[in-house]
Amino acid sequence: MDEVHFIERLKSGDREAFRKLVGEYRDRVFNTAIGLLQNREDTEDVTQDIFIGIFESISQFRGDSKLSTWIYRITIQKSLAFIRNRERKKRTGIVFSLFGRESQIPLTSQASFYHPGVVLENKERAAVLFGAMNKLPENQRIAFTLHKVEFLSYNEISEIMKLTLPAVESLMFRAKQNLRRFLSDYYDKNEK
Amino acid sequence: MKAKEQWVNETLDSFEGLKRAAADPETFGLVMRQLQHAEQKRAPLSYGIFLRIAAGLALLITVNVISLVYYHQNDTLQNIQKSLDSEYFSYIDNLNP
Repeated sequence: MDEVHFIERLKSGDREAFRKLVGEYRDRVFNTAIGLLQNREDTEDVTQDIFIGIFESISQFRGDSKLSTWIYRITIQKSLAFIRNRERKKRTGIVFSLFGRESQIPLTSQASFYHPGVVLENKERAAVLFGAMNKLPENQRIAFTLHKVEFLSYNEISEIMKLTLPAVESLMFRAKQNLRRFLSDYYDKNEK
Repeated sequence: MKAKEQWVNETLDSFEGLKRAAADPETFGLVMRQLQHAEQKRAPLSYGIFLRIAAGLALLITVNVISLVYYHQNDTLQNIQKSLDSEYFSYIDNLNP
């Protein structure tokens, strides 16, 4: 079934078409989100929110990009919104704790993240790398996650992020430079 | 220095062989349940609930009307009684100057 026809069915509220969409994209959405959120429970909630958002806004999809591009954009938007909300709650928790009120932020958000798809022998190093990714500026983090965790090409990333190819290449270069610096600092503190 | 550089390089390459994380296979069902729940919240009042509200309002209005009528009658009777009393006592006063 070609994409245009499929989108028309989605816009008409065809549940079976939506089921097919979820089946086809749920791992891609989940994997991208977990790369950014680095927490399984949060990612499961956000994944559902993403598909609800897709269902409710499919009528607004103009078709000027591929459906997959549009879905990745929604995934990134919702994931980043969740992260910002989580950071805001963390800051509030710190303020409350100064006044003797318990922080509501669970400790698990501060723990190392083990991506379920990492090769076993790389588990610990990958957890350190995910920790370093959290320190990257947002655009670098998105580009790095899409390329290294979700295996997208620079061309695909440029469409999703609405950037030129050289801009994506530059983001990736700076991301790797920053990660090298963070990992060097980590090595000096922990691995010597 | 070399050890550090090697460690950094190996860490940067630690995503080699990474497989995509799998979502909950029940994602579609969970999403549909949330959508249905949201739809029920937005649904207009059912006919039964509407009838009950209407009946309740009608009862309230009826009770109020009856109360008002009763009060008005009571009030009128009391006024008549007062006026009779007043006439009687003024009659008595006139008899006994």
